[in-house]
Amino acid sequence: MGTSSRSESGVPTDADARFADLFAVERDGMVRLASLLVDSVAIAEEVVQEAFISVREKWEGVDRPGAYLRTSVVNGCSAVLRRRAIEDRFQTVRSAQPEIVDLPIHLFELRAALDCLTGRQRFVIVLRYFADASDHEIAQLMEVRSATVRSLRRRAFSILRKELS
Amino acid sequence: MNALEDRLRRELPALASALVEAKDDPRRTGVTTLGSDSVTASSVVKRRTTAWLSVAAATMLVVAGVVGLVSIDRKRPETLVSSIEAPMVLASSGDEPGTDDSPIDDRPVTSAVESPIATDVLNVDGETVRSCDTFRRGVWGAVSTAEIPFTIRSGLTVAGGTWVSVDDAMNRRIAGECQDSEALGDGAVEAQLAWPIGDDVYVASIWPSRNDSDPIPGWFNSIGRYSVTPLRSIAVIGRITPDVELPNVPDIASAAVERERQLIGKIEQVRDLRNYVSSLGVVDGGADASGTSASVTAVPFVRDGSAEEICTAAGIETNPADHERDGVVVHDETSTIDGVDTRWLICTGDSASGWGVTALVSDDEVNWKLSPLGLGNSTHAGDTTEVVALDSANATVHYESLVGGRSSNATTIDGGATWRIDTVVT
Repeated sequence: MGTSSRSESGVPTDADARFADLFAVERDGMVRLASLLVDSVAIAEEVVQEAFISVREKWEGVDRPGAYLRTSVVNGCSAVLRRRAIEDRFQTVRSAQPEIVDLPIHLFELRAALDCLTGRQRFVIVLRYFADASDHEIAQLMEVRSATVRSLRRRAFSILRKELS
Repeated sequence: MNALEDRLRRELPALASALVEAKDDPRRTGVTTLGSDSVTASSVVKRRTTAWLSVAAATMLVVAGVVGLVSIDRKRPETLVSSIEAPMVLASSGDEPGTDDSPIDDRPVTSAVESPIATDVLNVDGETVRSCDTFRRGVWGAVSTAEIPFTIRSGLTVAGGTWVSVDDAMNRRIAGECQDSEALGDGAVEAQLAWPIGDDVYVASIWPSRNDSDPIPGWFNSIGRYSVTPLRSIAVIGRITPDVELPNVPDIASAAVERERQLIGKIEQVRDLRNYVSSLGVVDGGADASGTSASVTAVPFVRDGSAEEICTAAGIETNPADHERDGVVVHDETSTIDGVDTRWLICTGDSASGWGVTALVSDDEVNWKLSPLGLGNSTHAGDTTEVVALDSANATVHYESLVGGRSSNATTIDGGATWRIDTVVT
């Protein structure tokens, strides 16, 4: 069931159907997760799309497509934030700005507060409190130690508490 | 931390949904506006009151409610812009609507009014004003109650100043102020304006929060209603001066000036009242229909350091279950009599805390008499605390909660060893 699993007649295979199911079930949630991670729905959709393509290409070798997908999305978002950090350092204008969105005030505040976090702090907060990932899972996703996750969360809390108070 | 965790768990999904849904709804993108249908007078206040009152402590004591918040995009300050529609009933606490202790449900809050902006007559929300020369201060017609609720808008000028305006429901600018001033971050930029409606004077303000660690300060605007009639609604308005610009409506401007004069007179009355310290010889608890009285006996507390550090330590000492908070210095005064320095330190907690007012009195600034007076949290909007330390023995802490509808006096005549607290339901 690889990328060539679609039959030559064009009839969807079992892999196609299961991939379609995965897409239907996970896509919106992944876009939401990525939107929080990169603060841009447009970029989030791109990241998620790339992640799905990656999942589809590696379908045969992937035991848990959902987990692989989430890792791909997180890694994709991480790459976006790394690029953005470099842009912030050397360019006056980002190549892609977060969308300006009319939000209720409490969400506007939250969004602004999240923007004060570093990329890694933001990841920890979003993964913990949106994706409900444990410290261990976050550590695996970010390829850091659990202690680092806890430390990042503490620092993030300090900033968020200040920004939201 | 639990409250923050709860908020994150609750609001991150909502934020994600809002971002995704907004992408497919062009009406919700393009301009950063804070729709007041999702803003209550109180929800804004609590979050921004700490910084605001830290500034206001030096300049103004506000009894009336405060509404409003200016948004800032920290990455692109030139896009700073906000729009708050302020309901007529402004008095509020800082609590979220619907929470157990929120009084907001009991208060008639006028529903928000859709306010499409007429670009030909107003500086559009989101428009960057090049300088104050191009800022329209127009006022069209007399102000009447029919035109409320109103909208506060504010933004930056290219020159680095700020503008703030109050527009009525018909998008007419009731009052506007623009100030080409120093660059952001120096704490100098602010604008205020005032105008009368009936017996009330409304004051809109915009200023940055002073935070030394943040080069681009948070901004917020506020609007307060100051009635000239009931005494308890009088506020000390530090920065309002008679030269508030309402250039196109001289009658309103002159009326505003007159209102301010009346306010100042009332303020002086309040100041006179502050100097009253009752000589209470007996302290015990009790309550009747009109209020309560109670006594608090100080406990010893040893701590040195800055006032903030002492306040934080005292707050943690008295609020062990809510310990991850910062103390806020309400009043710090040293009275000297017969060569003895007595330091009076009145503290509370940050606005996110549940700390009340704590009194600390010391002759050596290390060994303190600590008295948790309760009363309320001074950093909450609409609440004011006034402290008068007459000498080394006598002091009064007056706590006024307009929203809570109570007025408390905590008085000591023995140098902070015991306090009597009288609370009157207003």
